[in-house]
Amino acid sequence: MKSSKATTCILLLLAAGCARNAPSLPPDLSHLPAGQRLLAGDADSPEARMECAALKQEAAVNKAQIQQYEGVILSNRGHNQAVGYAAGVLFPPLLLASKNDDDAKRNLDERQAKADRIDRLSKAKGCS
Amino acid sequence: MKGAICLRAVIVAGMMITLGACADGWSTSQVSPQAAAAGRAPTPVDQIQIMEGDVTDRPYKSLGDVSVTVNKTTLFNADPTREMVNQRLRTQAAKLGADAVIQVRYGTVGISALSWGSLDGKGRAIAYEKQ
Repeated sequence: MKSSKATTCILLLLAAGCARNAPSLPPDLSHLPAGQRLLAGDADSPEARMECAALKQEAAVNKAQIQQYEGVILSNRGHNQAVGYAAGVLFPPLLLASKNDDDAKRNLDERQAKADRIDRLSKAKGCS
Repeated sequence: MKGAICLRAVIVAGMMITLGACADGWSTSQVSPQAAAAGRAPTPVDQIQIMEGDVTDRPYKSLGDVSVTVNKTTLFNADPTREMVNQRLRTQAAKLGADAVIQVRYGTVGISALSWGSLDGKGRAIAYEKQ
């Protein structure tokens, strides 16, 4: 009885890993003037040396990469649902065959942080 | 006896799947309102803007961080979409009397502990200051 409860908990934890949570919100800098809403590392980042046009281009590249990683996760969605269903109905250890896309999820979080940084720098520089 | 129980189980499962397909999914939400949000009149939901970046051309007050999760009811429902997340964010922000939700970001759809398909989103509810 105890072991079946433990198995259920482990399976639920494994399954919980499949959805990626939205990244954390950046700190609220609204008390600062628009030109000063930067975080500590922003001024030292490679994007800080870019002009408005380059920042715009970098934002577009970053967005394309985000879509690419989201596509990777989406392409495994059908597989993961089928595995989850088969594991729930037939054979629970099948859940180990689900693809967790850890690399894509980590890359997405990094790209979101970059998108936030580019947004802060663009607005601090007064780019349109 | 066993056959009757099996039949009942099949009928119940069939009804759940059928009814589940009609549902728009279920959702959860969390709001961490700041003092600025207290006592503000609710805003009409359809007037709330959703933005992925910050606003720097108008002064505003942060009212609180809002996060929502949209879940699909059964395996056979369609996956939740960003538009559904945006709608839930608008609903929560409206209760705070916000004009917009900024810095909006999304997770990616996947299986969660309680759902076959779960998508979450976060944002900061703000109210523009009158100029």
